[in-house]
Amino acid sequence: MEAQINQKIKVVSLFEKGQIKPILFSWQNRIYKVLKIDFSYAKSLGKDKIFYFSVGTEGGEFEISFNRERFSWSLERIF
Amino acid sequence: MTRTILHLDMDSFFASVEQQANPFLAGKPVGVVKGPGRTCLIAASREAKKLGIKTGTSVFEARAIYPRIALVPADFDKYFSVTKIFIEICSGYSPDLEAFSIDELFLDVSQTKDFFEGSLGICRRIKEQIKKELGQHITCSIGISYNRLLAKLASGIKKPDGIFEITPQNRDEVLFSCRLTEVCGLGFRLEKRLFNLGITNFKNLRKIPVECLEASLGPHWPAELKKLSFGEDDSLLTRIGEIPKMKSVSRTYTLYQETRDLKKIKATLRNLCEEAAFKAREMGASGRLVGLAVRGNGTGEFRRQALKYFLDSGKEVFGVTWTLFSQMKWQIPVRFLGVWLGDLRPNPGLTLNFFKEQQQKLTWAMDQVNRKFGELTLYPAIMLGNSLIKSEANGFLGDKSFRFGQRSSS
Repeated sequence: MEAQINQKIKVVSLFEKGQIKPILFSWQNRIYKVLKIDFSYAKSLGKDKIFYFSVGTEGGEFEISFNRERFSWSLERIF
Repeated sequence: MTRTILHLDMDSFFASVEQQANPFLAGKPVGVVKGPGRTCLIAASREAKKLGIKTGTSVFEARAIYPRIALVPADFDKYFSVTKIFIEICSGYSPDLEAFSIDELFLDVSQTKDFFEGSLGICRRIKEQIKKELGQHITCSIGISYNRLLAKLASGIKKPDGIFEITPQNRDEVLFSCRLTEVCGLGFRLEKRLFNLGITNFKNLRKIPVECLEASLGPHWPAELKKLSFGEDDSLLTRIGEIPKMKSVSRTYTLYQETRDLKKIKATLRNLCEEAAFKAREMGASGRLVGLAVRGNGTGEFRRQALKYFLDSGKEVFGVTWTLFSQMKWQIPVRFLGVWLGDLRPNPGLTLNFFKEQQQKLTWAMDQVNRKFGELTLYPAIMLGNSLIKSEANGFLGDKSFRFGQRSSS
């Protein structure tokens, strides 16, 4: 069952060759290591560009997002 | 020189993207609906298709076939984002690319195929790249031929994830085995008219003299149909940078329920006018033909008005559409509304409404805010209390000139 979360999270990420790659993130005092990125896409919200990642971790499947203008990460939902 | 055209068609596009984005949907029957509460599927996953659930099936019917079908609201921004990556991948193999719809494109590889081990080499590379960059659930079927018409027909033959080539040698075999409507440009209405003449396939169509067709179909169609029956098509690809400037902008909307509530109708119409006018302004254009379409209870009406000056503000477009709506004296509940701004011309040199300088400044300021913080951050008070309708890329990519950011120029 899918659940909408919309909470700010801390993410360790790699910026490489013009691409962003989330490596691990912390949410509710737990650290989730990103094992795979299933899908990513970008959306514009006004001048903000937001990059979404469907990621697989040992603790489950999540959608996290990176706001390029605000330089912030969010946990969007849990699949 | 014989041309080599590829037609690339993403398989069950919207549903595949949703399956790729949410791993729990992979391998399951999925239906995509326009939004929460909508009653018709706009796409179905290949697993759903195997069960007989397809595009256009109602949610009620789909649940009757498979009660546990996963229904997902469409996210056109997500799909268009994938389209852009798809275009980027394909443009690496030839600059002659035409984005035909949100999930289809044509690629003319006549000049470039030798760099990539022929057209099959290009197909294989594109498929590999799609898998790598977009994911394993997103696949495309590719048709190869010497013109657009046959390439498009070929891509539908080996679905999903297939490659099929139509050559002059197998052309007749393929054409004679397919239904008339499988060929792009021949719709169900024309098929029915041909059926009434006893023509049910391309073999019959090819044999029948043009004069016989002219007697019942008029002067235009017979020549076109004859060309189709031989698989002839001499049209060229329209590159993204060469997409013709839009001559009109429009926006339609089907309400969740039929309504007689004038306040709701007014708010919805204003919302649609704001979007159409904003698109025109973003392309640096104004229009002087305003149209309104209303449907409900199985009937519909369209009216339009030509003005002596050009408009680009939602308020002014709404003013005209509301007058048109009043003139209709519409009595029955409304289910569908559509607004249209036509005869678009580039702004410089146009006769704009001279007395609306304040309004223009206000519109300019609103656009600045909405561009920065997102669509409909600021909107007219008349729309308060109504759920806001935001713009979206549609499947046909009818507004591709706007989507690919082209401005009108004189």
